[in-house]
Amino acid sequence: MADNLLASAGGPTALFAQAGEAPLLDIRDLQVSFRLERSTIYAVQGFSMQVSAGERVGVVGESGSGKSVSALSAMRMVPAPGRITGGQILFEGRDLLRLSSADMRRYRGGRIGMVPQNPLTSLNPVITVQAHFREVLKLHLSLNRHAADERAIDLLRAVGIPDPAKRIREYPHRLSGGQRQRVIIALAMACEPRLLIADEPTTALDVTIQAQILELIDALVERSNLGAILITHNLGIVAGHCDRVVVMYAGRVMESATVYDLFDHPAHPYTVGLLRCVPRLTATRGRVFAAIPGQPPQVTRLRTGCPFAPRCERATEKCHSDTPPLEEIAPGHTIACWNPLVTATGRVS
Amino acid sequence: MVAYFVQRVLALLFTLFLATIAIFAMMHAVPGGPFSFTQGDMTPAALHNIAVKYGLADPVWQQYLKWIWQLLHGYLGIPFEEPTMTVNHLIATAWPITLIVGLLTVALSYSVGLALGCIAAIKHNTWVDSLITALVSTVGVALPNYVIGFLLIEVFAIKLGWLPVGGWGSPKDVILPVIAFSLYPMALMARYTRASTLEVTYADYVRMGRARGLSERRILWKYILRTSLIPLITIMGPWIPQLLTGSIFIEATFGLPGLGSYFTTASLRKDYPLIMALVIIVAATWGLCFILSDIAYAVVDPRVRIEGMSR
Amino acid sequence: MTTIGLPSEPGGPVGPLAPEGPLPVLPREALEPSRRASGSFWHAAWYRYRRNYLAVVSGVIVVLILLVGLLAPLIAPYNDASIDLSATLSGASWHHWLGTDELGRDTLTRVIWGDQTSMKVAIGAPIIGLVIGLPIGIVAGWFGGIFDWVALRFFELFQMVPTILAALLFVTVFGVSVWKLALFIGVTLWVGFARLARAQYIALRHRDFVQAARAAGVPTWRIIIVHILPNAVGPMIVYFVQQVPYVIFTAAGFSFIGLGVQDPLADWGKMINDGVSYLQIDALLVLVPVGCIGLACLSFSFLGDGLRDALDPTSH
Repeated sequence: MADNLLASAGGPTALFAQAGEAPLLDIRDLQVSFRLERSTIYAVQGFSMQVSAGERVGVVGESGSGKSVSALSAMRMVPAPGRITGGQILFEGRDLLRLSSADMRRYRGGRIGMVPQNPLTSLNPVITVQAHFREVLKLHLSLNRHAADERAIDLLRAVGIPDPAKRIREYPHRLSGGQRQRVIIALAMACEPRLLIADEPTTALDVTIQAQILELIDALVERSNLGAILITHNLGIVAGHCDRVVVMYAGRVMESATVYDLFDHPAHPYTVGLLRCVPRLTATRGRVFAAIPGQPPQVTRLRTGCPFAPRCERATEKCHSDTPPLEEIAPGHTIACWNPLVTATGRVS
Repeated sequence: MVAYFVQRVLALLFTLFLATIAIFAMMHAVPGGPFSFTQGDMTPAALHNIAVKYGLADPVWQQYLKWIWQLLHGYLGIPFEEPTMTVNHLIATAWPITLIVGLLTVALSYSVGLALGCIAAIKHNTWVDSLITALVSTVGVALPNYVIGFLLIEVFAIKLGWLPVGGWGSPKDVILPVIAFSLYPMALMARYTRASTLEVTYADYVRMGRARGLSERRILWKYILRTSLIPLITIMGPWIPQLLTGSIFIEATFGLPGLGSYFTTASLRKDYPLIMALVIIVAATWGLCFILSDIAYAVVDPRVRIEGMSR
Repeated sequence: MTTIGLPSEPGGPVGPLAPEGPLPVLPREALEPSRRASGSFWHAAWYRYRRNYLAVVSGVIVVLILLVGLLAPLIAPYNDASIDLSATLSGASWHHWLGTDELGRDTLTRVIWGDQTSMKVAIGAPIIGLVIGLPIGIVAGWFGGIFDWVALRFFELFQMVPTILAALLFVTVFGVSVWKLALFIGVTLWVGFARLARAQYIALRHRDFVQAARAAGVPTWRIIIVHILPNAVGPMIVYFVQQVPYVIFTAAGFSFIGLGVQDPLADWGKMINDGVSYLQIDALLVLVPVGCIGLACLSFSFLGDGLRDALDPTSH
């Protein structure tokens, strides 16, 4: 456990699941809604995604697109008043939605780990780092104090915390933001999960630390052959640290492809719009900031038709009236669109 | 850290000192001494003799110094109204009563208040929460505790005859006064506990604890309650000395011979030794409780410990 | 590894929401300090308050109570101290809607005048506390340093003396009247106001709009009056209203033990005290003032809660 994991942050591994091997996580047609006082928000309508071992999948979208809710559903940790109202979440073959709470708890922390957005508030301020590890290691791996402490020290060393034996006795407020995020990652990895869900893990950190944390996650994925879900709004992170990407809008999947395919041959108008919006260092003078006019909707009524149609420059009659299904247009590349782009290589019909 | 508390104790002593000077001066500043009531009956010569006997003829500052000197020797003087006893004796009989009522009140109101507040917070958005909140906002707030005490007497002592009307003879005498006295602090405690616990319930680290698969029970005790109780020390801490030094009104309503009743009579008759003794006791209790609550806070919240305590 | 054609750009959202064209100029309002004290804040607070039925009803009741007290000479059916020994301790009747007391004084009249007396103390005491405490608190916050330290010690000193006992001491030493009662209780309240004012000042002086005013050269006194006070006034109002039930309790308590207002004046506490002896004969004598105290305390308490929720929606 003590090898230096930071050395080999490499490129994407396992781009394609071994043929015939079932994916680690298979979310099918997930529906999540939030019941409020006077209305219902259909946050997720028909989300499908697969993650295989050793694969890093990025889930991108704007705020309100449903990306966090979708990924967190994998742990059945949808924040109240949200409720999962339909679909299946198959993890290692079992439908998590059918499990009892007690069984689900065993998965959390044990088989699936989570890295949250804000490290500053994600550790219990009144117990030491050591206590954090002890309780989770005892729960899932039945380790006694000694064994738990040893393992904790190893874990901390593996995530790059210097002098872990000393650090363990500290209270969280004595650690910096970056250090706390590492501790949280170590905690998430403590019981050797198969899947890691990272919910915007670097948004709250300094730029220099962000790169380190992301590389750490890459290294962990590679070494332990984990599956990882990276929720983010940042296409740059996706480009550098994901193998596959799922683009979400208004609670639905718009496009899903490998990182290369998405950035080289985007087919969905929304994806194209997103890519166009990213400002470039190499831009020539006089180039205007691109934007997608309009606002993403908050879905309070179930409607047919493509949710992006109102803002889409390629929208047709059919786009407004019929909901486009998610279809494969090339191996590993699916989109939900009636009128996708024809790219330079003519890959799309 | 030890240095910090030594500093606090010294500051407390200093403040006590100031308080006694202030009270002493104030009492002597107002015309009329302790024997003005009886002035009509006595000759000036007799009055003068009494004054000398009780040291009232000396200049004020001298009286004060004499009092301090006696205090340091543990002697609180002779009350004017009962010249055959000492203040020490009076206090010794009265204080325990006030203390017992006060401690029982703290125990009852704080424990029940805590429990109610936690339950209300955990069952947020259910009828349990609404019921508790409604109860807590009305009971204890609507009527002063002595009025409630009076009503309790009417119902339970007079009409039903279950409990004694007042006085201090048997253990049953504490029941009604303590209940009447507890209602308001209980309501306050429940309210603040609920607010604090609710805030913590939605905290990130609680969510993350769940994300690691910890049981709800563990989350409740180690994550929610452990942190939500910390601010309560600051909020409800000051109420403890308040309750310990008794309510004059409750003691009056139930006829309890505690410190409160002495305070009233002593003030009316300008019984200086008694008044000063009472003031010292009250102020010392308060100061001590403040210091203790500081210690408790440091023990309970590790964030405060090492970097020193700044209020 | 093939390049992907995007510079790696951590941080910052991809923003399809920015309008096209050149960046918009900041509106003038954003440059003016004291944004929060502008109309929109009070509008929003009023809207929130309006939706809270309990608070609205309590507010109405409070206004009614105050009105009754204010208009006492006009509304009371009988003269304040008119004694009618022929009709003592009569129950409710057409002449006397709530009966009479042992001296034949009409209970309803006494209640109405008692309203005025109680309210004089109940509102007067917090005002005095405010008038004393607010300047001290702000000055302590403003000067800081040793002055602030001394002020904090003073706060502690005064807090160590329990308020009821202190007020009692004042009363027994200086005698009592309606205004003295208000004064003494008010004096024991000043610490709370001072602490609050100081905390508000300290919290606000670091806010951006204050810094902006300072940078623009506005003199300190003007900053305090124009920028800080309007923003601090919210919590102060809430605290003020929350003190009222406590003052009502305490004043009534003094009357209860005989140290409150004296005959022929009455406040509700005194009425309870007087009526206790005649409980068996005419329960109304006690129940009516008890009911009034209860109603007043509850209303002010709910009003205080409602104001707090309206002015600071961050509380659940």
